[in-house]
Amino acid sequence: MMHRREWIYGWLFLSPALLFLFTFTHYPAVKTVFSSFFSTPRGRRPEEFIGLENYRTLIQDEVFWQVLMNNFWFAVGTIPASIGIALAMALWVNSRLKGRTLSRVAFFAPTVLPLIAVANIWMFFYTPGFGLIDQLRSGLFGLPAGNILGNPDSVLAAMIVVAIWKEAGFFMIFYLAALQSIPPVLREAADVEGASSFYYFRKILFPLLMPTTLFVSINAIINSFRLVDHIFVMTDGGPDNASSLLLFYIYEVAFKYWQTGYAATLTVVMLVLLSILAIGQFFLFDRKVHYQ
Amino acid sequence: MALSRSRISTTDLQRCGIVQCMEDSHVEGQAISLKQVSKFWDGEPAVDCIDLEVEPGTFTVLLGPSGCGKSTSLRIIAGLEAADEGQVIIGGKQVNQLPPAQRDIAMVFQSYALFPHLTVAENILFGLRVRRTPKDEQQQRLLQTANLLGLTDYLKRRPSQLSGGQQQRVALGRAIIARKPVCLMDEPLSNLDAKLRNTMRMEIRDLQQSLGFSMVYVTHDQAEAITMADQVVLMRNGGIEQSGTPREIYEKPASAFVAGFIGTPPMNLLEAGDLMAAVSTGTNDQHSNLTVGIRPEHVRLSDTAGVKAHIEHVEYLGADVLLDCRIGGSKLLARIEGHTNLQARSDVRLVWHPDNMHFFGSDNGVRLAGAPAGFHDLFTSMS
Repeated sequence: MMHRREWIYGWLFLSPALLFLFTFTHYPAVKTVFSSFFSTPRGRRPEEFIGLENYRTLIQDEVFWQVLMNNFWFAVGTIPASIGIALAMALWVNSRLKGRTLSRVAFFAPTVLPLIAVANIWMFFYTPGFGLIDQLRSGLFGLPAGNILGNPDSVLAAMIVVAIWKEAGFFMIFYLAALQSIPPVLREAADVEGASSFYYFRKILFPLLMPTTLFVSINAIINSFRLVDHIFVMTDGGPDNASSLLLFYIYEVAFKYWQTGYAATLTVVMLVLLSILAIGQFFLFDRKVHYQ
Repeated sequence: MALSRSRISTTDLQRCGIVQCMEDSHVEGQAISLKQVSKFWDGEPAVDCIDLEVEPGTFTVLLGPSGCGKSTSLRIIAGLEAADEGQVIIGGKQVNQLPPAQRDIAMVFQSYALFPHLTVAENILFGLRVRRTPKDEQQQRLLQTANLLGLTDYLKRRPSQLSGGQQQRVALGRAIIARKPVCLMDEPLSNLDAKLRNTMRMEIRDLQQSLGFSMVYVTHDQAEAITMADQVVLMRNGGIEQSGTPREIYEKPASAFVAGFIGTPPMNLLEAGDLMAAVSTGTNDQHSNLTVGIRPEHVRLSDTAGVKAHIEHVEYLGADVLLDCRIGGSKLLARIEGHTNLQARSDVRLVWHPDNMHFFGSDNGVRLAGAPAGFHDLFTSMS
């Protein structure tokens, strides 16, 4: 009898969280999959089951493929760079240098700023003619003014730089926390044995930071699909969809063109992609990660 | 102790299988000396102008209460801290400017400092791999070291899968595999339980003697120091209070501080006035600036003569009884052998041999050469 009662208590304790999780996460996700097999309801015409029709549209949708590729390059551009820079900054501000509190604050500042504000700062940097970058270009090298955000070849790279600038400071905090939990005596033990800084980093520090790297890289992947605020402010996905990312495209399809059925289909693609990436990463990394 | 020492070395030799094992690993210990070394933290001296000599191949223990500068001194020898003043000399060479790796030392840390993600074998081999020792030699030395320390079955495990004692052995293994002429240990046994600490004490001492390196060993445990050391260096407030063999430190403490630090329980320190008052009738002011030391184990009970004392507590230790007595304003612990039926809150008379008394100045605590007039005669007549 006692066991049965405890079992009920367990569920009672879980229920508030479960209720919210089901209402706002699981139910919408299932409903999205469900909606992706239906047409978009309009006016007097209710939604009707159309099977895989939305998926056929998706495969034939050139914009979808372009956006997917954009997102791929956006991920490739932001994830390794932001993690690498975060680690480098963390190592730097973890060392005994003067003014390290100031540099910690400076590195973390972009994270505290809302992405909309960050986007506005970078709009100024990128402004053709009198923006910071063009002023440097013409002032230092005598190059003509360029329109970085107006050029389909450079706009995605510009978005990547903004995302890295925003994210690296955030990831740095996790690395910094991990670094501070590593006892300094390990460094001393390595010093006594004559290990160079690089050897120590490669053989000791980096492997001990692996749990953090796993956590940070999963976050980075999710963020590479999730962070689209700056696209709204800076480019609106243009020019010619060159800076449009999957989530931004889903937003456009759902709330600009009001094709909710097709938007649901795109969302399913994104959910599947994210799940595969997260699960894959977990299995791939897990063997190499040592948890203390 | 002698018995267990020989037991361990013979079994280890057998475990090794190769009789040369020990001779292979034997190293020439090097002398270490600190000359007028000081280290300051924010202007406050942590190590205050100390001189220290360690003979090659000997075991020196830096002993003292926490904050006395013993760990800092060790770290200065290791090169993990720089000496602000003075010379650090290892093997006849001044090493002040050299990084730890170039001082030809090995070190065992209090927390062991094992790399948690590496296996036991990788931890032990760390230094050899850093220095790119040939693979065959690495394996050969790993097996020797693992044999010596009884770690052969654990080589593939991670430190977190080992007990505290086994982790300690891995740390030892990492230190001795490189056959460095100097080994430094910073309170290596303080994280172990009492029983294991006793066995590891013996093993570390055996290792040092059979391998032949010079050892500098830091501890706050005086029993550890007395049992292990060739030379005990007792530190206090950044300076050296006394250095000498365990016997010298025990039998001729240079100050009241040393006397009160060494021994289990340590020496009793009594005001001479209290003692005189308890022996003879009438007060005696001529010894007011004197502290008398007497070890608990030297105190005996007497039926007739002796110092009048009041027993406050009786502590039964099995073979001995520890009497917690009061003599005037001073306290005295007496360790009485065998069975007694003494009760707390009763009066007794205590005697001791006059040669067992130590005398210190009350103001500076410095040892006085001999018994002041009157004292010796008084106690001779008693015993």
